Amino acid sequence: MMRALSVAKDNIQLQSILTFVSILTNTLAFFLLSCFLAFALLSNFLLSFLESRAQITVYFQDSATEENILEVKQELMGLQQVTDVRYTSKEEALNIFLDMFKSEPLLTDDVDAGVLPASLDIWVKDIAQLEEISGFLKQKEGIEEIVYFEDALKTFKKWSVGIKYVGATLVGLMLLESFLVILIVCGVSIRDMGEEIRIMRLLGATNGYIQSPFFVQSFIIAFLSSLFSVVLFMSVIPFAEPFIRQSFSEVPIPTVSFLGIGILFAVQLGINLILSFTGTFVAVKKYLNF
Amino acid sequence: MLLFENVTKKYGDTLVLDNVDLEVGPGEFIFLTGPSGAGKTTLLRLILKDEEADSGKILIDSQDISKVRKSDLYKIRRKVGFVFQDFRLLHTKNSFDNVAISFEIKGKDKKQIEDLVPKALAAVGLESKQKNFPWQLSGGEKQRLAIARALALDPKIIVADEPTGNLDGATSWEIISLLNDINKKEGTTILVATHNSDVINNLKKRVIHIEQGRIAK
Repeated sequence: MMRALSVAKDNIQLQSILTFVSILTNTLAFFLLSCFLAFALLSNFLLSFLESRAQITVYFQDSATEENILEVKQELMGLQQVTDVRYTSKEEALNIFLDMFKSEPLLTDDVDAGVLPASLDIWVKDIAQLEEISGFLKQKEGIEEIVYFEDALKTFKKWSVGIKYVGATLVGLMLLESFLVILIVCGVSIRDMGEEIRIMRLLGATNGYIQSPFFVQSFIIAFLSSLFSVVLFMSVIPFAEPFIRQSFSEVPIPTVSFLGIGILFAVQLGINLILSFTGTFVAVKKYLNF
Repeated sequence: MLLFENVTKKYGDTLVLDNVDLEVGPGEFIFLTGPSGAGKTTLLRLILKDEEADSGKILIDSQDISKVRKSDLYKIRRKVGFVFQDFRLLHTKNSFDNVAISFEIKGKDKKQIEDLVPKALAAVGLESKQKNFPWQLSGGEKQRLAIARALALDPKIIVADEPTGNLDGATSWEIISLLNDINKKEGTTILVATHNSDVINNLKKRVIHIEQGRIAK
């Protein structure tokens, strides 16, 4: 093992520029992977958050009595597509409003329950059914406004899926590039040691003895690039986080924990080691003719 | 110790060894002679299994080496030490490391290697050149270093392909004497391919003459 480490170190020093390029390529590939994973997690979180909120809100005219509204609620509860309905009276709406703007007395001073409408918040099983439910509500009397964000959700979903596909393709290409770089680095090392390897073979060296330094060399590159990419990702978080929080101010986005970073590093290292092992294995098969 | 039975080797259409039969007993010292292209080097490379025979059998220590799998090749190679005209030394490593590699391959640990390498170098008169790199050694010293490396494997056979080819008369004699001493002291079987008629005549050992791929005498 010590010999493999020593030969690997010599190879890295001999091909310092090539090793630097491979570490850089791998670092960027895995940094991109981190960003992609972060985006996937964030968009999934946002989607589930948006889907968990009331998907249709129906505001009633002042003329609609509580009895009328609760009747509509009962009818809605009887529909298969509806999972939940919550009633907000004028008084409750006022309390929510006052609580929301308690720090801005100018806004709350002259407000009373009369100016705020009573409403029903409706959750459905599938956002595709929003239009149907909306159509059902439009037939009812005393409805002032129906608000639902089917289009916004659909667009968000579409963009999110699109970005995921593009991201996955990009990450896939970068990982392929990393694999090829490892293969090249390993191939060059093997070629550089060609005569030495030939002599070692004649001296009776086993395949393991000859090939182990190349695997160690690749694993060193994998470890360093995984480490650097996580460090790079961590250094980007302080800049990206405030921007994301500001953009989705209503969404309680969880903070990035050390455990999360640890898991990210472990995942990256795992993928990187698999790539390195495969790249080295192919190079050894190709150039050493084992 | 070493047995060739009807061994034939071709390179393309060129017949290099033609139905060669050869038996070498344990502890023998043999000179292989013949003109250039006669097949001496090919014969030695077949022993090292650096080449495959097209037909026939080669037995080392009663083991048919044609049946040895590629992954087990190292077992054969550890029985056969090699010495070449061009020394085949590792140019980026010093004398100590050039010999240490054989011990490493045999699985010796660092402490054992530190103990064994100076002894191996002393056996060939290079105890004072441990830190010298091959380019800092004379031709004779390089060849002695190659012999020390071969000896470190504790081989049953040493094959030497023109080991004196790049050396002057006196140094050639030094190298052949060293191989002769190893043969006598260790009982190692030695096959030396050479053109050097002086050393052949002086040493009075068994001589196998090859011509056009056949053993002539």
